[in-house]
Amino acid sequence: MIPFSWLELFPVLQMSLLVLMALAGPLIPSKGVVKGMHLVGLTLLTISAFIVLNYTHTSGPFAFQMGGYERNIGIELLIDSFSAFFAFFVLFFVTLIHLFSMTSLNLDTPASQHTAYYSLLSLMYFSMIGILYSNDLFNMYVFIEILSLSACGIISVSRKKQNYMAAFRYLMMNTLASISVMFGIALIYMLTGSLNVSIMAERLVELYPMYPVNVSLSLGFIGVGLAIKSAIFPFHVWLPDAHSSANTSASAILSGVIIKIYLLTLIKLLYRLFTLDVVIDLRIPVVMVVLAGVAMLMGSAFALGQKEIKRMLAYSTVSQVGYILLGFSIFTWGGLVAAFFYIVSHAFVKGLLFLTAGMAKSIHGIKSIKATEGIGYKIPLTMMLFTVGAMGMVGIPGTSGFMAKLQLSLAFMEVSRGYLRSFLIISGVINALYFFPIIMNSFFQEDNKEVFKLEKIPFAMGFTLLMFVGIIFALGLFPGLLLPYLEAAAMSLMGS
Amino acid sequence: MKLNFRSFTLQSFFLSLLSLFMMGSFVAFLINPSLFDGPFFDGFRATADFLSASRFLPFIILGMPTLSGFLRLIFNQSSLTLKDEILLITDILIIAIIMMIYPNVLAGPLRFEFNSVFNFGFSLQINMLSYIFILLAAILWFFVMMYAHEYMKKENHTRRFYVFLSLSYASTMGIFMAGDLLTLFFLYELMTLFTYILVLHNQTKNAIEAGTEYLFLGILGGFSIFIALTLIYPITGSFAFVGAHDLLASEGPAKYFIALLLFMGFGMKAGMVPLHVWLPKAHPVAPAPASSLLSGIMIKVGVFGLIQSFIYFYLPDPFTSRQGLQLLGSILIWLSLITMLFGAFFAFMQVDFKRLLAYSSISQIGFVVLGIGVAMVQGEKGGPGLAGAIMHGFNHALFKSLLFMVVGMVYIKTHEIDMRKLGGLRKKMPITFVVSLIASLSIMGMPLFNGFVSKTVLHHAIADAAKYQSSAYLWAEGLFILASVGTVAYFIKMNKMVFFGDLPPALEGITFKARSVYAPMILMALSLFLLGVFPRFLSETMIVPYLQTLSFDPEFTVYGTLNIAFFGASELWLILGIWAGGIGVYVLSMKYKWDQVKFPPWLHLEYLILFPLSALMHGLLNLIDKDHDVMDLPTYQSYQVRNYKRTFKDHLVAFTDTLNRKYESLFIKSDALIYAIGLTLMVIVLSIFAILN
Repeated sequence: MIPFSWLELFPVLQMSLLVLMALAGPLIPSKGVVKGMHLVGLTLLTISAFIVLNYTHTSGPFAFQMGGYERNIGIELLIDSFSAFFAFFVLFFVTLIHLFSMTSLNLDTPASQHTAYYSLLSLMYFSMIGILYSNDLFNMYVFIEILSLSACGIISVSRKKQNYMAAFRYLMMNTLASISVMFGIALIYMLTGSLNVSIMAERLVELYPMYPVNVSLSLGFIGVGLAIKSAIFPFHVWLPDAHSSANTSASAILSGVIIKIYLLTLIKLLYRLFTLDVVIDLRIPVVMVVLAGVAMLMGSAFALGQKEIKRMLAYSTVSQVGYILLGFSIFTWGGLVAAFFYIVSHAFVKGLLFLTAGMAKSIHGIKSIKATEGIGYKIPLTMMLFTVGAMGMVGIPGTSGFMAKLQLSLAFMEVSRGYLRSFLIISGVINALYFFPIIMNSFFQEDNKEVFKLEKIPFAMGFTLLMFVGIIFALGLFPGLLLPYLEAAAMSLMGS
Repeated sequence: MKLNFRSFTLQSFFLSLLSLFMMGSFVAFLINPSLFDGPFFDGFRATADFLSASRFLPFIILGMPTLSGFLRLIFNQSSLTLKDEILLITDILIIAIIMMIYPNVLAGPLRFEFNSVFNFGFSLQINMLSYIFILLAAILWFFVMMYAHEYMKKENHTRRFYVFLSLSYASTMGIFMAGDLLTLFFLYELMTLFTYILVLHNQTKNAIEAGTEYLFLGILGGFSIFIALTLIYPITGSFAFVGAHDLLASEGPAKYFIALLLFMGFGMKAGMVPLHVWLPKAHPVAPAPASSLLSGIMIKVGVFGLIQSFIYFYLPDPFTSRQGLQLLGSILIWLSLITMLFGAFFAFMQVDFKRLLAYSSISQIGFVVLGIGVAMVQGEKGGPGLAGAIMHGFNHALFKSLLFMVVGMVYIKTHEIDMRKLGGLRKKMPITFVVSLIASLSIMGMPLFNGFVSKTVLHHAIADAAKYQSSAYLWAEGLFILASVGTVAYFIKMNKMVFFGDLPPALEGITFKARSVYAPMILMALSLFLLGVFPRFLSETMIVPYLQTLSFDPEFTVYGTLNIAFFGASELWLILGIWAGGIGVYVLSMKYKWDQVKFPPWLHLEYLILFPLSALMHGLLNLIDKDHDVMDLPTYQSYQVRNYKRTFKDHLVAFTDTLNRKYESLFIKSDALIYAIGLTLMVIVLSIFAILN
């Protein structure tokens, strides 16, 4: 038995603090105080998550039993390199976005909604961390539900007709997905008689040969449910509306972390619950490769035809989910690390793109791609930041997007599936085809005689954007900063 | 005459005197190092040793140009003279440093490694090959910048231009110094982005179109190098340019695929047929200083990449089996011959001054790549081929950038680029005329000028290939001579149309005084002449010492580069023949108007590639949606009005968009239905399981 350390209380405290912030928000009359409280709270949370991450890194994983019940019926939180790293990543990311939203929210959301928006966000963070930490299926399911519902609220917070439409569609699709996940859980509970992932996995080893259909059906239900929630290609229909109609900071969070949480849940369950042998026996890798390849190509191809910048970015997210899934689909250590790197890289790159596109939309009223003509002279800073994001997306070396693609390609070579790189290349070329025209249009318009005039960006927004750019280049040039954590995370998934 | 010490002309004159002095002493040092013994020179030597041992050197060589561009931006309010001086003085320092480290590089390659970058390491190395190219780039940059002062006065967006020009210069230098394939790829992509801005500098319709094409081909080339490097890594375990041939040699078919990808990636930058399509568009639209550098050093990036990857990944050490190498080499030889003839032919057909030079660049790059191909075919006797390639690359950089300067001069004087509207300029601009004549004679292979030297070495190399390998290369030799004949013909045409004949009345009154441009032009013309008079200088001091460090047969290398009787009777007879042929072609074509033949537009390479793609998209669109808005297939008539590319992209977008809308509306319209079906199915399946269990 490892001696109990007070650090092991941190995860519970983190989650309690988030719920507390969500509940306290509506009670505080001043909006400024609410924003400040959330900023302080999130900063503390990020720091604590970093401490927990380093703790797991040095002294190994630890489990926390809620209320001290026994594992079989109680709620268990498992904090290992995997969950601790991604909890830290989520909190770090949303803290930066929160800083941005403190100014941007005034521009794109009715003032009456601010408090509700922050409360919903806190609930969302709470459920995201909960999904990552929890080691039993029922708890995980509850958190998934909370996440879907609060995300639905976030989408509709701007109170426009299109928001309601998008939120409704999102809600319907996600409810279907939740039910599907629930069926899957029920099916596998039928077999194992437990909801604790570790116990179930132990029992499944013996039970799978006896009840293969049950396991495969349950895997199918859970897989499809999570696929809908993470917008894997044929189930992506809700995503473009939802991500493009949400306000600036919310679309960055939706595209940056939320769909990644579902992907991480999927891969976590595949490794921890169903175990690798079963997954390979059921030919899941082949299904994943096909889905990922189609997603990469079709997502990019659909983005090509869009007329609105944010919708284009949303379709690009559809294709990027394919990249991540492709990394997972080879089920090797290298593939996992590459996919994790891709998740982090894509969050910052797409976050930057959504933030700058949102700024162009909410401050300068530029929505459609056609309207970008010549705006490089009016809002050069915004467009330069957008250019950095676009370069990251296309995979120009020096940005984190390139490093992610390089690692993916090398991971494919390890298992001699080099042909998978053709997806990367084709999708990359199409990325260039739809990102570069925007930049060309905005900066190199024909016979433009206007003079560069730097626009002002409010401090909080500018700081966040600068941090994003810094992270994109830092990860692109020195991936060694991040890789040890990712390798440990992949190791902890593979090891168990 | 009153001297104005604040004028750019005078200052640049002193700077060029300084550079002349530096180059003179460098040459003296190369010829007789013992002249420089003594306490006075110990300081230089100590500095060079310190720089070579420390890790600052690459930062200085790459950082100074970058810095100079940004300094120019910061001193935006200062006088133009000061701003342009910054570029010149920083470059003088770089040239001095590069010259100082010559003994250190000669002793062995300098390597600089930064292992934490990219997770795989970022490394730079200066071996003799890199040294030749960075010295060339630094000197060319100096002359071009001196020239650019006058030219850029009339251009817009100069701040942006200089920043990106210096960034592309720095990244080009970086490519020449790359120590591993990943670093090379990184800088290659950066260079594509930076030069893209130079190409579309004027922001006219043509410039933007050319820039777009350049960018996308650059990205495609980059991706093919990217695949190549991910293929190489698992085989060799590293990206470094250290002998990996043994590992690669045992690999089988993969190595041919890698070679193909590398040819594509670097060949595109070098302008090899059929990946040359961007070059005749991009070079003419850029401002003259930029096209001078683009044609001078930036297309050498492709050549350098080919040589470097050939040496480190394909050159066996020692020569055991060269079966695969020969195949690759012969492919390269025939491709380069096609490039040479294609370039020469189209250069002859042009009436646009700059396009003629751009096609001429394609043709000359063919000569360079031919040398690499010969080196691959010849195996251990490959020294002369590679020497010829490096030498011709060096010489081509000098005379082609000089020719682009000449075009620039003609352009700022007359504002005319169409050669049919020019003529008789020899009286109006005598210095430019003489310089143009020297550069043309050089590129045509006239003895006493440098082009002759490298072409002779290349000719001997291909003749040796025919002698030692297969007699099929006799044909190659013939085609080589034919391409030389073509070169003579189109340069006679160019000089005739621009400088001889009658002065058009529109150009009677041109006046233009800018003495600062003459110093660089004259100095470069002088260097062409000197390198031609001393044909063994370059190979003796740099190229042969470099080739001796490789696994080529050293005696054969010396035999094929230094022991050629350059001014012997057989060479001179051959040149006489080539000249007679060239003049003959020119006279005949003038008589029968061969150079005014119009080709049907459907023969155009881009149309041939894009038409089937558009047709495919059209068919797919018809398949999924019969009553979409009618969109016509691009015809070759529509190619003539230059909207063929848009039709292809339109087709692609229309297809994917329709598909998307169909799919989504299907999903949304039947929302409830799908949910109902899904739920019922799940319930049914569940109940079946309940019954079964």
